[in-house]
Amino acid sequence: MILIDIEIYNHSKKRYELFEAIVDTGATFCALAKHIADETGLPLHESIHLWQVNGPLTLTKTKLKIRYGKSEHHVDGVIVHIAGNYLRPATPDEKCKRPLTPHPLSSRIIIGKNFLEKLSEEERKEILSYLVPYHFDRDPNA
Amino acid sequence: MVILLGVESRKWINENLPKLREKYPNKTIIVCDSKVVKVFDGTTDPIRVNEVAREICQGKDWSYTFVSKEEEEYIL
Repeated sequence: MILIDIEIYNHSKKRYELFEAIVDTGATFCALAKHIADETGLPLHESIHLWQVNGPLTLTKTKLKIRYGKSEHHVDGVIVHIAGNYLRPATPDEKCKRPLTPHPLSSRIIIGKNFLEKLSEEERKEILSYLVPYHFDRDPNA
Repeated sequence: MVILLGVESRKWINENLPKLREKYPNKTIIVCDSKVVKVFDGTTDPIRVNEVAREICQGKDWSYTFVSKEEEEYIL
């Protein structure tokens, strides 16, 4: 998983906030959880139908002002409602029903293809090179 | 001088993730000046993290991450 830092404009507080972001080249749009969208006062636009793994997913579109490095980019984003009990680790009786870790969008956002396309070739290459350190996190003999 | 937030601190997190996993399993950490300056239990609202980091790091480069106990490989 590639994690980077980006800044998103918070309309409520009129300032940028730093977010840990998952880089997902398979996602068409940037995505964030509703509890974060509400807190940052993001504008709600029309609904959009997207394919997820096993069926369609209907989400609300928004517009994100994202700062990365020295540049600011305006990109479409989608807002996802995450059930409250997925924002925490699994309890013992839930262990066979869901992953143990909290939902990835509890405290992160997804950076999709539409944002990566706004970056320079150098920036994209740099981000993809971040995959390398994670190799050291694994047992090379496994 | 413009500080590009998250650059050095993110690099430090990536390089130290195996050790961080042992020391801070299932915690959210704020990193500044190549050290952990704040620890929260579980995941934490990023807006709250920003408020705390602004206070502690005072204009310096900083970053945060949720340190999962195990590597997060269950994402499709």
